[in-house]
Amino acid sequence: LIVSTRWALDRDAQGKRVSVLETNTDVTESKRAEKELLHAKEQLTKANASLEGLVRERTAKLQEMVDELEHFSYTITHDMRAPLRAMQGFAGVMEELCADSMTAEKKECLYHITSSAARMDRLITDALSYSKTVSQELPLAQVDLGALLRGMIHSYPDFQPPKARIHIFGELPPVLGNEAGLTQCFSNLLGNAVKFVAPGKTPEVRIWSELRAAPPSPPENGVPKDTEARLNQSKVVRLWFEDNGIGIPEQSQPKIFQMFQRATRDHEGTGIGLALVRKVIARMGGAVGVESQPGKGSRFWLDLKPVR
Amino acid sequence: MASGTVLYVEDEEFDVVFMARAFKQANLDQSLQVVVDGQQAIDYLAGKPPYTDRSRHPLPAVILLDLNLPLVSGFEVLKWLRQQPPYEALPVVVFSSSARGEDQQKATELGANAYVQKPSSGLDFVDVVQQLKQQWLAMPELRQ
Repeated sequence: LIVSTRWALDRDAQGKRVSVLETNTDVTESKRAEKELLHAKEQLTKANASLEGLVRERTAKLQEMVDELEHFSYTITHDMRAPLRAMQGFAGVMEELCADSMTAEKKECLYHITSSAARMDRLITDALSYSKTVSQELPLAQVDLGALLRGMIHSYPDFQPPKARIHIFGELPPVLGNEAGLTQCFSNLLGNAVKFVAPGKTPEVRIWSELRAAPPSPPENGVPKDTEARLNQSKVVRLWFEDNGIGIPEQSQPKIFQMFQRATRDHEGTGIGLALVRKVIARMGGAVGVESQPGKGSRFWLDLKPVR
Repeated sequence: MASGTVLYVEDEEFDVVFMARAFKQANLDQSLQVVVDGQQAIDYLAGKPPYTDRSRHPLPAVILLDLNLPLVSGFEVLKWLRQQPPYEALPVVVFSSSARGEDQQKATELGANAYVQKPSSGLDFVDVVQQLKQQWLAMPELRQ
């Protein structure tokens, strides 16, 4: 039992001591509470310290993993491509060495060796550029879509007559995006549009844009969220790319933006290009989609943030 | 300095095979010297054994340098080279399969004169040799 004692001295008018008042209070409970509080504080400090240590430890582990992945992709670049270089090279040497005894069958075999090695090389390059794009920062700034697209068409002979005809209709509004990321996306989309056409057909691509209402965000606990934000920013710029290519069967359309999914076996492709487009546009806060019918071309769309 | 020698630093056996082939096609097979790691490259340039005889191992007019090398990396060779007064200005063409911007930037910062990405087929090394011939081996007196 802990007791707190107080004494009070009582004096009369002349200042003479008359009595003493003693008060005893049982403070066991409050002392115990005080002790507990102190203990709790100590525990908290300890917990904080160990938590900080844990965060440091986990951060170091994560960093180690990132470094390892980085090293892994570095190794892929250097070591996995060397044998492919040799395969392609030696197939070519073989073709020269056998020039006198070459038959259509031998030639076909050599062609398959070469083209398979080239395909593997493309896969590696594309997978690397995908992982790089996914891990790098994409700061957003105002991008002039028209200038960007015209510049790209101008600098790639594959996007110009006689190889292809690409038209831009109307003014394309400025958007909030990352120019390097958008360049990559447009290059993949246009690259597909000129690649996946029926034999003998000249690829034709039409590009235009429209302002659309932003799709509603999914409600949270049944309550629509960010209503005000949506009212302020209720538009998206939808950029369309329409081609006269082979089209995409309906059952393949949902999968077309997934990694390593190809809509067709007839044309060369790695199944990474559109996955990359989806990832980059999503990281800019946008969305992608496609409308298509086999034999009647495809219409790809990208929803981008307008500049307000 | 014996003009025309190219020191190729490369650990990939078949890349060396195709480079030798390309030099032969360009009638430059006398010019090619090959070492297979970064330490050998440094020893070659420093004239350490077995590279003491400059008639057999002439000083190069240009170095063709892979980056990913055993023992001493291409970057380290480059760094060493730029600290050696006789080789401060020796042309170095980095020859790597890496398309990473960081690698290219680092090579430039360390003093590489050019960065050539390895073609995807060994057969196309002839194009690299043509480029070397035109840019670094032709008329060395005009490049001062």
